[in-house]
Amino acid sequence: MFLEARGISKFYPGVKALKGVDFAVDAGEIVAVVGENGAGKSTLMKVLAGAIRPNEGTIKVDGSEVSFSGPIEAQSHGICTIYQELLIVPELSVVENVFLGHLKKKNGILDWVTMRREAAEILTRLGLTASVDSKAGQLSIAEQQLIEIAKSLSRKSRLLIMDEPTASLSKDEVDNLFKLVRSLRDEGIAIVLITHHLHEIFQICDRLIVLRDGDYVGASTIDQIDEAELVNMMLGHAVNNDTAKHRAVVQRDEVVLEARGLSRRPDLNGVDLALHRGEVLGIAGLMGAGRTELVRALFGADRLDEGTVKVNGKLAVLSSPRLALEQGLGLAPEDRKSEGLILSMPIGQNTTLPSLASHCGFFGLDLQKESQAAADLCKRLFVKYSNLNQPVGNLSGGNQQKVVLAKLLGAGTEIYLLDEPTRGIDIGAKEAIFDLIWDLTSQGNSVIIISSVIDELIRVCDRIICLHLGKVTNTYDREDFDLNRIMLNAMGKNVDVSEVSQ
Amino acid sequence: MMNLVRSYPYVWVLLVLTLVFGLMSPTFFEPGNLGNILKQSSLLGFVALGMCFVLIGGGLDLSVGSVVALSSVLIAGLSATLPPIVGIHVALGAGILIGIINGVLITTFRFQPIIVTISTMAIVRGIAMAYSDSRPIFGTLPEELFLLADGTLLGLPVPAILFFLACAISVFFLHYTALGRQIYQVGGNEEAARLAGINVARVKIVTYAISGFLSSFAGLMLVARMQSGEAVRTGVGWELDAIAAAAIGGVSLMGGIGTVSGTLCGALMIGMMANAFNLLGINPYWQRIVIGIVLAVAVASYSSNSVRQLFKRFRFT
Repeated sequence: MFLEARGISKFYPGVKALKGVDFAVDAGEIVAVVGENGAGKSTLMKVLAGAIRPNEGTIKVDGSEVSFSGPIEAQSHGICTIYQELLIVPELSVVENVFLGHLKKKNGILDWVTMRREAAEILTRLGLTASVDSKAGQLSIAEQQLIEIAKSLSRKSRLLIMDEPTASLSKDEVDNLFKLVRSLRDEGIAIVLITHHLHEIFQICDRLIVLRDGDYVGASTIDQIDEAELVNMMLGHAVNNDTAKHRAVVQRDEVVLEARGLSRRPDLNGVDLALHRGEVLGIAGLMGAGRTELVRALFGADRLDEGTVKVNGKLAVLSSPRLALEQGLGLAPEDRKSEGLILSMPIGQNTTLPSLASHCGFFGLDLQKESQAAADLCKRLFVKYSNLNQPVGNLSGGNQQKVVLAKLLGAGTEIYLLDEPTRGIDIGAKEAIFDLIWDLTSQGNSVIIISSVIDELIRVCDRIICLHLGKVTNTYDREDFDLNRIMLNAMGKNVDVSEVSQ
Repeated sequence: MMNLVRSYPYVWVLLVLTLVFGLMSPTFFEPGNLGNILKQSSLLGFVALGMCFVLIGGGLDLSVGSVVALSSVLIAGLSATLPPIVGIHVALGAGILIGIINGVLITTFRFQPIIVTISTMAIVRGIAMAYSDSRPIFGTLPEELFLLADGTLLGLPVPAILFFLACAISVFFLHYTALGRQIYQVGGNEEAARLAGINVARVKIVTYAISGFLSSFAGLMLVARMQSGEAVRTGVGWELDAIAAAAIGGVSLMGGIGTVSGTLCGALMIGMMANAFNLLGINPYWQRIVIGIVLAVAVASYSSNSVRQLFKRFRFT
């Protein structure tokens, strides 16, 4: 084995990201690491790349134990990583990017002649026709990815870790990339691939390992497993549909929000949806399926190319968040730290952010009334804090999310758009947020919720729509919820029951 | 006590500096001298106060010094033929207009504040020089105007009273009006503010307009004191002194953080150092060096905190 990792564990405060995971990869094979979001794939890859240190476990390269102090040491052992966010400096030329961080010197000065020659050789091998002097930023994403690969080849890489390499590529570009990856494998390079797209795993990989919630679930060679089995492994059999807690089925007699043909290319391609009063509507989809773009467009945060939105049966112009708020829509953004909260400001002032105007009296802001309102809102949502004047950044993730929801509540929201409201928060806070969602809907509000964890959607929603590449692929009512089918729909498969249930 | 120091470090630095200068120079504590310090600091104070708004809103305004110069020549020049009140209104209006132009360029075209205000700095200075033919304009102003600079009320110099008044209004505006609160919100997190329905462009334009207004008001005070208007040397380098005063007072150049009281103390500190160095007969070059050191120390004492904030902001989750 080229690389062998045993019993790798990584703990963060309150979270166990990896729990004793074993992993091995040999020269000349392609291994997929599979799992849902939050399963621990990225953490494992970062451990192998030397970007983070594991709390427990050993890593052996060529049979001898190593302990990486940082990515540079991992690279010196021939381990290179290509992250989903490419690390290309757009202003620099191709050759400068290829040798970024390990420039070649001769007699103390940079040896551009050798570097340009070597870069040209590698690029020809990769099939990139662009000149080594062109600016990296002017190349397409696929070409930039080739530069990343060239970067690792120029370091004599023996293990290439690729995190979601196909996420922003077209089909032809994916085919080219895979052809290249296969030829690298045949040259004896070990390759680890992280991907959400099941068909890609079956198309290119030799083996796979499955992670779930930081646990090692199992491994298999490709010819011994099929898609349905793999989905079962990823999600686990113990799907606990605790419906007892869920309230009665809603009356679907009043449409509060209706969207027709929403398009914002290339993310949204004609999405139709209807939301009923008192309903919880889930949106299932992979990253890049257009989930976030959909709710942001509904909220007026991004402009639409085409499409109409009706609120309470009336055609609505939602061209800015202000207008959307006035129509009773409220958005809890995907990234609460960079979009939902103002971390430098106190909890109280964050809570009243969109409803500030209602605390204005004749003599300016009524600060007492405002902090009373903030305290009430925080109490309704069980936000745990010691002082409303504390910066909101000091709160835990779950409590921060509750402040975001309190904000919407205070603004008189009737249609809640919740983008990944449970991401990065612990189980207890998750339950509190589910309770709140049911509370809100029983009072006549309506909710659209996005989650990468389909289990959660099944638990909290009345209806789920599946989104893939900006299109709705299927819709399920509560009585028809089926984890595997929703999962496959979200991955772009059009399946019916017979294919999966066996 | 420690809590007070932690919440208002600049107040304590100001007090310590006052004590040190008082011990070093016997004339420092004389009422006349203290009045002088207040008079001198309030000129820069107006500009620094405007800068404080812009910085809290996440921007930067380098055109302030040129606006002071334009305002001074406009008032002196127009008063040759018209009653001074007309010139004063034109100058204040011009300051607001320049601020609005800065704000509109920055928000609608998404140009960087530093570039936009460097260009307006040059353009406005050029206009002021062209208008005055690069010569001082004097002998045009009525005696009453000089009271604005030299008069006293209740023992305090008039410019200081006006400056404290401006500070009080600013405190009210920032803390007791929605628009004032929105300046902090926009500076703290522009995207979150936008998603909360705030008209980000309007808020930013308002901060630049306030800065332009206060700078041209500083020009008015300067005309009253110098009894003349001058375009070439007036207000040169004030933009950096204003930023320094605000930064010493704890205003963050990243936006979203800062107080009027801090800016007030920062401006007083800079004015006080100039005065004390004069009294002590120390070479003015030293003054620049010491201001630089004080600024570096002040910013370092805040940044331990802001570095932590930064880490939090970019923490991987």
